[in-house]
Amino acid sequence: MDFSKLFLEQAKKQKRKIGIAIMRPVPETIKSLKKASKYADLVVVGAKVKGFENIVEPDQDKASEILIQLLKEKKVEGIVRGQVKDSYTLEVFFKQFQMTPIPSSHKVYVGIMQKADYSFFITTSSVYQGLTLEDKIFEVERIIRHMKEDLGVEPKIAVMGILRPSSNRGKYKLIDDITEQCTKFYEYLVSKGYDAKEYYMEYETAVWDRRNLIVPSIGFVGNSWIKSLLYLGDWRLLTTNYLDLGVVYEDGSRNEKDFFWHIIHAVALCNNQVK
Amino acid sequence: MPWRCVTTKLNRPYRHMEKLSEIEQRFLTEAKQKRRKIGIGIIDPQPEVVKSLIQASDYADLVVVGSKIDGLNCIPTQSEEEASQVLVDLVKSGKVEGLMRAQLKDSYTHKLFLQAYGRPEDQEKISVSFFAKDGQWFATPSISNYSGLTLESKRNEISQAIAWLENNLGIKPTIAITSTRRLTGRVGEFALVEEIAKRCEIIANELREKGYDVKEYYIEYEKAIWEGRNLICPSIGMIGNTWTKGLAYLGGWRWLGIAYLNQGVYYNNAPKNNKNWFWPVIFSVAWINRGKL
Repeated sequence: MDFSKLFLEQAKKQKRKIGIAIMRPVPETIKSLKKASKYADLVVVGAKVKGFENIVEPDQDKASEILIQLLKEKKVEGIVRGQVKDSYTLEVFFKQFQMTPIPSSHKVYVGIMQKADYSFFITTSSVYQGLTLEDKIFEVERIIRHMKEDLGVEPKIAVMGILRPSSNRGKYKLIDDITEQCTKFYEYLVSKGYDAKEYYMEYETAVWDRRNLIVPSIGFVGNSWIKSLLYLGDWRLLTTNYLDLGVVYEDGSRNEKDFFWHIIHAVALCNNQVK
Repeated sequence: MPWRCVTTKLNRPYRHMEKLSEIEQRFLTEAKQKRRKIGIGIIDPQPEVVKSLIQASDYADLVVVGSKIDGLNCIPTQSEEEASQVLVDLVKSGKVEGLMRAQLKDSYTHKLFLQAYGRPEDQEKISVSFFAKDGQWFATPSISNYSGLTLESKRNEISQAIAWLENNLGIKPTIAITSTRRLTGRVGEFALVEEIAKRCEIIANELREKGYDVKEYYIEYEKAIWEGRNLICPSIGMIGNTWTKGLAYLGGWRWLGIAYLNQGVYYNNAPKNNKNWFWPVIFSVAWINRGKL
């Protein structure tokens, strides 16, 4: 499925008011905001940016607080975290919304990567995720539910690992432990009847086989892999919205410069009332 | 940096749609000095593979082991394992000057290699890899899943990569040390993440004390490239392995070659899912022409 087309169609239904934090308004960023403003009334928080409703706040942490406040006071319908700190902004969110913070290992957000006509969902791409089998199961079950119920997509899961079955074992406990965890994770998915396949360390083969949900072996590996594609490999990160926060909260990766798709997705979520 | 169209003597242009990096230009220049005889393991001769080998054969006398490819000197075999053995025998007998395991199994081929030379298994497998795209290039120390799992192995891998850049290529390293978290991240919260991050900090400090040009990039590998660092040290092998394969197989980067160090022969360990073997062959010929292991 071409998710970019789907999200654009959904975004076209109604223009929405979206808050976004921008600290480094380089030309590529401004261009993406202008392009997205066809689908969203943007409120830009942080740096001074002409041509938009703009709340200038040079302090990054204060910009996070203003962004969340806009959401809390319903002055915007959704937010794109943009260029402010991930963890701090989420902390402010829980505080202002008086919610119990979710542990870093149990945050679930939906990442979709796209190149040409192929897209895949990615889990476990924060460095703190996927450290235990329970964390991986918790996260993947939630994303599978989102894929099926919100997007009508049947997951074809690629379970990634560290070693091939023919690789040397017994030398390094860490490697053996992660390998065992990945195998147990695969067995769990199969026992639940999901279409899952182990690809070991061959992420590229999972992509070439056009799997649509790729689960890295562990968070810090997933984090670096995704960023190799996004920043250095000409892939797009279409979405990274948090699930189960009760609001439209589109996250992302701090070094991104083009926010068009994050804004489109935030508008699409508002229009579909997926939170 | 000039845009290049490398035209080979057989008038088969190897056209680059993008500019060549400094290191690619250098490897190509070095490879042109003298043709070398290279053994390469190929068991899946897809059209892209064959095309790249034919292009590379303008710089090397290739001996393709494992398959039959028209127009190239080939030793077909019945199995992948047999191909590994034949390849090792070729280099041991001096019938080829350099070895590229290419599409053959990494560990298995190396095991046969050690047996042939009567050597015990290496405690640490040390290598230096080279990547290029859009005029940029960088090297990495060992990026096997087994690399960088202890402070000692990480220290050893990085110091040998530095020495190889300096002594073999005469390049002053500008080192990027990466990590598993930012300093503003959840420091101390997750034991495994912390253990790896601590090792990275220790290594960065040690290298600084030795006077190297070192900068810590934490989880921002991309920044290290954008800032032109030429030796990027992943926090742990399993990250390096995945990150570099993301670049090479899905991100349009060229895997130029992997110099397998301390083997006593020119052993290029560029990996099996690679399809375009032009640059790894050039890398091997250039390495041999430098005359230094």
